[in-house]
Amino acid sequence: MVVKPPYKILVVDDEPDLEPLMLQRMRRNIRRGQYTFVFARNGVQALDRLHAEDDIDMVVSDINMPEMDGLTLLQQIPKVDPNIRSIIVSAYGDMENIRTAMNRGAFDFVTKPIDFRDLRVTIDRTLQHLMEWREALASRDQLVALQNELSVASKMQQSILPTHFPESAHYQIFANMEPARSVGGDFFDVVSLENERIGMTVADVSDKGVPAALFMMSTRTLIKGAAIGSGGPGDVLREVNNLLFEDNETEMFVTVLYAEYNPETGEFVYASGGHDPPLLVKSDGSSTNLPLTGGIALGLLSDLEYRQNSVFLEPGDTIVLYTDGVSEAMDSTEEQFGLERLRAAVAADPGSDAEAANDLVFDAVSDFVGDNPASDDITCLTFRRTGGG
Amino acid sequence: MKLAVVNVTESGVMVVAIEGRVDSSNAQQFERVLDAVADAGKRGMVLDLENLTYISSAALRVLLGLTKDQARKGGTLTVCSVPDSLRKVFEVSGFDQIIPVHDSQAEALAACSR
Repeated sequence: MVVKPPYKILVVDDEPDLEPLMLQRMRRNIRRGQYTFVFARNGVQALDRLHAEDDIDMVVSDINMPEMDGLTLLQQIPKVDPNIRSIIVSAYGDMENIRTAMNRGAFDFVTKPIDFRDLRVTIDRTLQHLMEWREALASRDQLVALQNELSVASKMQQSILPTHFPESAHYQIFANMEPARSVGGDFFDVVSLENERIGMTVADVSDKGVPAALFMMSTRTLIKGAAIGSGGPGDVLREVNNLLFEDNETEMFVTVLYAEYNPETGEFVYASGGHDPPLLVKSDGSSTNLPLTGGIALGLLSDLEYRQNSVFLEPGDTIVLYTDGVSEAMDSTEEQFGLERLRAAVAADPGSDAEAANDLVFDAVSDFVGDNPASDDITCLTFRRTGGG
Repeated sequence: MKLAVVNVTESGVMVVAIEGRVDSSNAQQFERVLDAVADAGKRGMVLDLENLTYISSAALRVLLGLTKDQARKGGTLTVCSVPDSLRKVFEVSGFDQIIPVHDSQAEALAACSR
């Protein structure tokens, strides 16, 4: 907090004549709104005032006083407020007390009889130091606040990710998200629907920090709500897009791939809102990128229709949903991981379960980028129709 | 990332060339620079992306803000000469349905003057 003038100065002296003298000699500075003065007659009174008034910026104190002297007061001031600066008034040539005062944290000193012009210069220099000190403190606080914000956002992001996946005789599903060092905006979700159907989401919010994390949380909740009781992925995205658009002043948006699987029919239906389409890896290792459904990222424009597309999965077929953190992961030469490597990673061990296949993707990305730090979150969801039908 | 105003047409359309990468680490800087020059583009703005190598979603958000600013002033924001690798980003995100994408500067300027 950087305080603006007038600066409040507490003058501590047992000499009653000093108060009118100070007010008289400093009257111009008081009139210009630079200083205001308050007074105390000894160290005890001074501490009482400091406790009672938290807006005192500076103390100007005599040394020899009854009840509590100035040197003792100096030791007590930081316990009230470490950001108050003190100027000590000593007898001319009293180097011993001046040294003690400086050692006890006085910022500067003036000598008696007080030369008010010199006192004014000393006060101004002390205030200058105080302002710089407070600015430094303020920027340190901002830095801490920023780090706190990023860690809060990161916790929010982690907290919405499912840690358990539904178990079924008909399919396996597993997903993971590896956050980039600076928080990104990826998330995934899995929701159980009527008649053993299952809904799955992979999404990427366009920003980072707490506002983006809040946007992420509402997106996830809206998708969940829309999925239960909707007519399919296209309807879900249309509904969520309109709801996100309503109060979106921030120009934030989210790319979403939402899909549903029906174990009774083997039909996999998906819709994209500005997101990469699913990758289908057949049990024989061949693979295709499913066609893009052409929807725009959510939150940008209202009243949009979102098309959906469907494929029928055979036992052993695998669907991979991912974010651009996977496909655009870069090695040290700025080459991108790309879809070919993703296909190869998923098809590498066709006998594995969904969790192992998903892990293979993360291993492959990690091997590929080497020491190059990830600039974006990496999210991958693997869905496999099992032999059980 | 490098940004240069390469042309301001007589009708007041500004052409800005963007080079290098725009990702979340420099998107804010990108926004500040673009905002600063955008005022001069009184009748619209063309961003030439020929030498842009990477664009992240944070940068797309900046372009969206700029599109709205231009619309308020009665102008349009268009992009041109988008490399194939980035054209995919515009298509997948659906941004090509919000921001007009042209093959060349000449085509973009012709569209602005219509």
